[in-house]
Amino acid sequence: MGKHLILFLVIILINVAVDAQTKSVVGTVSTSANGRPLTGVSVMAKGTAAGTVTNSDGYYELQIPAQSQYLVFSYVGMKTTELSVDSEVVNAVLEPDLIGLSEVVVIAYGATQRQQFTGSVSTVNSEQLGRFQAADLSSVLQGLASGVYTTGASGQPGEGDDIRIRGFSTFGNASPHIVLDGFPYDGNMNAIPLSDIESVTVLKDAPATALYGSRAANGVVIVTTKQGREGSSGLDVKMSYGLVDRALSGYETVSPSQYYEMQWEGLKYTLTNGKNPPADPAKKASEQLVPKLGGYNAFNVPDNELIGSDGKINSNARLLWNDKWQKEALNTGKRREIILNAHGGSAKSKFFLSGSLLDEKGIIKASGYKRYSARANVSSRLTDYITAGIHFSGSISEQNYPESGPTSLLNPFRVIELIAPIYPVYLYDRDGILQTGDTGEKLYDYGTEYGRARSYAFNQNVLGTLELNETLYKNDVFTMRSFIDFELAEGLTFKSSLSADHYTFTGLTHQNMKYGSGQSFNGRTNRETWRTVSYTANQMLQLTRTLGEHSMQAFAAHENYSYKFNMLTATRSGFQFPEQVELDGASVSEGSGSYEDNYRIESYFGKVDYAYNDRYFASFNFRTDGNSRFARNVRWGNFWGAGLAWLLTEEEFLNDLNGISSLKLKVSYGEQGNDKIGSYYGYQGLYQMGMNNLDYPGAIASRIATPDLTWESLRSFNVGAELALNERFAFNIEYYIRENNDLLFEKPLPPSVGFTYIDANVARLSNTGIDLEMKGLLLNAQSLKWLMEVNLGHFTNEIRELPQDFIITGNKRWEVGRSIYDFYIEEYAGVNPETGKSQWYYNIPEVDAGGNPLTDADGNSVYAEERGITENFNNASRYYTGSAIPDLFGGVNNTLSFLGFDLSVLATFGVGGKVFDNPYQYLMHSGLIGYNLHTDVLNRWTTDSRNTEVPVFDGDQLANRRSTRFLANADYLTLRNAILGYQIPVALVSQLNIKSIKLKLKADNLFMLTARKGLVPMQSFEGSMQTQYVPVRTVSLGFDVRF
Amino acid sequence: MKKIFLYIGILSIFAVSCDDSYLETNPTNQVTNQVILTTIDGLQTIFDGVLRDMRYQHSSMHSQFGVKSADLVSDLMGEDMVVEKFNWFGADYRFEDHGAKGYRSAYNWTLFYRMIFNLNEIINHIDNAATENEVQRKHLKAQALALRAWSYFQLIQLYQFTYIGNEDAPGVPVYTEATITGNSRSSVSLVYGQITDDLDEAVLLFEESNLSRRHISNLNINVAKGIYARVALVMGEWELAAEMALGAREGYTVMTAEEYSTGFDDYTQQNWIWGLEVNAEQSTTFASWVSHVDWSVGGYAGYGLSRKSVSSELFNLIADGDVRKELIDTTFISGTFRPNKFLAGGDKGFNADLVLMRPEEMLLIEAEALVRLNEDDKSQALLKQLRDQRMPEPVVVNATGEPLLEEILLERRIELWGEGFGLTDIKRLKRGIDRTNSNHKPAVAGIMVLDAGSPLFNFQIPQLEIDSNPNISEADQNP
Repeated sequence: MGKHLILFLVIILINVAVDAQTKSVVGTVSTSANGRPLTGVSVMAKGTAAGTVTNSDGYYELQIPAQSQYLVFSYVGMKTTELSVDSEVVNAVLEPDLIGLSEVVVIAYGATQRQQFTGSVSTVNSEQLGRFQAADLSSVLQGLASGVYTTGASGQPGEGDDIRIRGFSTFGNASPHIVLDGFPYDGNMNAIPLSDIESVTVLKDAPATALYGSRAANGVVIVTTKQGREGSSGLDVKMSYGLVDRALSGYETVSPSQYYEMQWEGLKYTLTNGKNPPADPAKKASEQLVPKLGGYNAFNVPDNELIGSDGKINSNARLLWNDKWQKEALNTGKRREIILNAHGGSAKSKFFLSGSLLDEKGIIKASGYKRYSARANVSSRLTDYITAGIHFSGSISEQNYPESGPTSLLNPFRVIELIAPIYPVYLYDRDGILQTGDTGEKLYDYGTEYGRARSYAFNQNVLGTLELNETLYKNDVFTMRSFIDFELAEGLTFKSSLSADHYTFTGLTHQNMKYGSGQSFNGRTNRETWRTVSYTANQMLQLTRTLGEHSMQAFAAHENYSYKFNMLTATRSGFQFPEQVELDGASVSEGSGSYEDNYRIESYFGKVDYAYNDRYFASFNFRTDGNSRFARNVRWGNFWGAGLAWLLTEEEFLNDLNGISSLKLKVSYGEQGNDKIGSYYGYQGLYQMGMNNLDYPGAIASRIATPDLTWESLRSFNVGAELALNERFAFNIEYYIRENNDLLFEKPLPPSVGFTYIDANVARLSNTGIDLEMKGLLLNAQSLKWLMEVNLGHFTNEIRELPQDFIITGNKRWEVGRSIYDFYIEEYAGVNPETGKSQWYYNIPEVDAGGNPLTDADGNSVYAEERGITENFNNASRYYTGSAIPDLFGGVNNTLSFLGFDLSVLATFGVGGKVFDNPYQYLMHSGLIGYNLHTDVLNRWTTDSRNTEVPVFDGDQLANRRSTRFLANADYLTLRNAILGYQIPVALVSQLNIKSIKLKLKADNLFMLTARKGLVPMQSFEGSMQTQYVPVRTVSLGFDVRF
Repeated sequence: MKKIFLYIGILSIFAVSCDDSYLETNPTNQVTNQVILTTIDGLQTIFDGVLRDMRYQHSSMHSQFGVKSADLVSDLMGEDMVVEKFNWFGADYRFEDHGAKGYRSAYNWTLFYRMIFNLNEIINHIDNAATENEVQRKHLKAQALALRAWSYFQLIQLYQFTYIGNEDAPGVPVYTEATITGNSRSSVSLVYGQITDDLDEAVLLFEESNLSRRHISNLNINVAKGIYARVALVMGEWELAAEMALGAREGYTVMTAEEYSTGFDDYTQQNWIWGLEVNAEQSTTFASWVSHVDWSVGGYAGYGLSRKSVSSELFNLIADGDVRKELIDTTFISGTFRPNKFLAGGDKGFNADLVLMRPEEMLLIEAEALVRLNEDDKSQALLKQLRDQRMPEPVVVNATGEPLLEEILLERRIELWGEGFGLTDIKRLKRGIDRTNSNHKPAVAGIMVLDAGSPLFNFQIPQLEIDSNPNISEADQNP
């Protein structure tokens, strides 16, 4: 590419450098609220780069081009005001902006006034973020930004959520592109403390995202950190201390005596209905019960007398132990946070410095998160035409992360929900005497002593293992953003930027040598270290021009991005001492490996924003990306976005309408891409190394060459209206259609050719939806204000094209016309009142006169209209039984302020959608030995009680097979965040040389409402509830002091 | 206009130029076709990769660890191995996992066809690959051909009944070149034709190259002849079977009782023709053959999660004093028949070596072929040769004809227990199974009796194959 030549031509073409005449203007700026002067108000000559800010007396002096006609005054929280330069003195009175009409929003490669923007964005400001106690930005976005749907809800300290913007735009990784201070961010989200963030902008449509080209199709989240302001300096100190507990109680389960009774019932049923029924099945069941349960008798009566032949617990039976797994495993966590922010600025330089400590201890002893972070953002006007700035940040964290795999017996949340209540946490002998160790500590029961063999998690005790095992993740993230800006001429600047991220992860996973899976190896440790270094270099030429009613902003830029990933991993086993966990303490090498990945993009892009008469706005942007993920001949792609907006309230015909403060219509269209296709080298035919045969190097075919593989593309359309009434109510409604084409799909191959799939750009998806944001200042008295903010999202996801008729993945089926998260499972048909057995629906095949199955023209079987009901699960058919996608999601925030108090309460919710309740399915078994039982099982079918949905407790190990019986409504309501603040009267603190002190009581996840106790429907997009770290409630007390 | 030069000056300082190679990136842990397929050393690397793949853990499922998981299933679908408790492999034991939608049917299919793809690439590129060692070229090609024959032989025995009487039945698709379009099922005789062609060429090339192999996992002329002996036995080519079996064990002796008792975990202590050596680094630990079969290692069998026992019926058929009976522990847990044959706990643990071919099997093939050729004397002598090493005192073998054949077949079950010959022998001999008069538990076993020729003995073509292969439809499926 003849890049230099292009830049040269651009300069020649746009350079109309004329040494302009100037004139000087002075004035003062005050607020209409109380007439006081305003410090730090930005004063700009409209359409030029000439500007200044007011000093502490509200006074300014400014040299502006002679032809400039208007001055623009802007200040956070005030309405931007435009005054014509009629004399040399221009005084301004700014009115408070109660609902954010003149908000300035950060967008791709710049910032703009919200009212003039043609694209779709949602913003979250520092004040909103300040209410939360989260470590990770991703977990707070839902409910604050419309169209943003997140799942996760894990209480693991330091853990964030997964984010989706406006639906699911791909079958693969649909996470948005994250931008920090203008450039792609490759660190961990939780490395950015919320207290460092000035604003978050969620970019949703083409004009907003297309400048990110081949990385834009999943939406973009721009995080902008704080910057000092001219004329105000100070030190803010924030400290808080809080307690953490479980936000949602567990499933309701049976007592030990109920457990024995139920298992006895199952045994008796099996014996009675078996091949050679014994003479007295009840007696036989009583004899077999305790041995079946691994020899555990939690009561003080002989094993065979525990349950009488009436099926009831022996009336003399008293519990020998009554350990509650949940109680023993969970404790109250703690949260501690200290934040120091220093900020200030002069006419020439601005700075923001911060340091913070966050220390979270989870509700499971082995879980925690500790983060130290620091940041320095400085910028300075070096000469009257050169400005430079740099942002540095560093974050070092340690995360203790107990195993959380849904099927792992070391996952504490699985064990405490699913282990039968008859099994003790601690070791008791046959007489129920608690066993202690040398130092008097309670010993854990691993299910192996006193001739017992626990049927659940044999040779494991998750509490003991958590103490002996170790999982520690260390994350070090360092970022740099720097720029130098040359004002070449009036309205023409050249800016060169360099950004770099460095992210190192160091992980240790140790399985102890005494118990569990590490025992077979005498202990085992895996060490994993990886390092990501990425940088972006950008050169940009910007032009701002105003000619009469026309104003134009444009830029052209070149950028290159480079990403390098290094992985190093090693495992050793065979430890000598239990205290040692590092590799050097072990004798047997179990393997090690390392590799490096490189990923690069080179881009040319530009943008033109045009405004006519402050009421018609048009923007167009374009980007061409060369992306190393694709083969040379298909590497370069073009992406673009265009938008139009019309500010009707600037039209004369709307001038007469009282009450309408602002009304804007906007429409946009464009094309973006998604290059996250799983592999960095997807197009090459490859052999995987490391398949060594003993000492002989080995490799095996890992990928068929696919030279035409390319990025996924998105064509998005957006139309919206923004309305403000009486300067107290604001509405923003948008409708969008997003068509995702060329989606990468693992196109199935017949496995006999040696591969089971080949990557191909073959599928299509669409997401259509509505985002709605409403804001109202419901009360606006001097002493009492009530602001209510509502945001809602709704979308429909539809598969438009697949390489085959349908694909079944787990409990979903993908088919054209369906969403990617439509459940396709067996449908429960209730209990047969005669037999008590579970029943399911099935399709009855049509047969011809000869009894042969009929088929249609395509060779598919034909079924009768009426469905059959069967007790044989193998015959059950599968049906579409609802979608995991909610019909509506969003949040409602209320902020009340009165006197010195303010109260803010945010509720988030999801309405509609289904979730498959896996733990409930486990707990609803009919005789699975060792597993706990839900109290709903007590309503099982019996000959006396035939009218129930719960089948007979017949000892069938597979009675709780997957069906709609375990599909629950995913509706939820969470009191996500509440904060009560009290501002100590200034008069009281000013003597202490303190600007202000604010006391705060904060609560996250104060309560949660879901369809069933224990159910957490917002764990995953695909609607699967697993036993994982439960959501936690954090309540803390803190204060903010401003010096 | 002066300013323009200033601008250009500034821009030229900051504009970062990227040359064309900026966007060319390559993986560091994978190599491209262009690199690996063009030299003999590259092709040798693929061949070693295939050998490793034969003992690799391919998924998170602990029942998918390469060819020995297929072997274990072969024994579990017979009557001589008993599963104590439902766990991994429980569905295989119950004949529930080999239907079109079964995991096992898909796993076995992809396992052997992945090997075939890689071997085809070796065979098709080897003649043009760069080397200065023509002997090595022949030796590697011979190995690739023999292993491809072995892979097709495994497939055809799983997905169709035996050769004799089914020559025209649909077999499995045959590929000798890389493609992404599926082939139709070749007839059984065509599949066996491919196998014997490959073996003929392999034996010839082994003879020509006359290079000794570098490792027990590599194939040599003995292994190629051993595979040929097995194939010939299935095809009823008795003379060929006897000849090849004899050739396969050339240079090998029957293990003594002492060697036999060292545990089948370390090839250096035994006398294998072909096996896979494992080390600690490359062990698949819980997902390994030893984890599921050996009670002395802390895996599935060791923890009692899923023990495999010897059938009590077979146990009772073994003569007292036979070392192979001595290695079955009935006292560990009363009522169970713990096999100590594979005892690895004392030596290697999870990284136990895996046996694929032994001289004793070759001797038994030869003995069986000879009795079928009515050369009972020679057959008796061979059987005696084996038994003398298993019994405390020398034995007399005097049965002839059908009883002698039955003795040899019983000897196979005893000698080769747990080595993967269960299902294939049942199908080859056109027999059924009867698990009733034994320690098989109906609740765990599911199926207790199957008649000879039951469709359950055949794996079905995986659904994925039918769905994506235009040349195989539902109509081509096994019943």
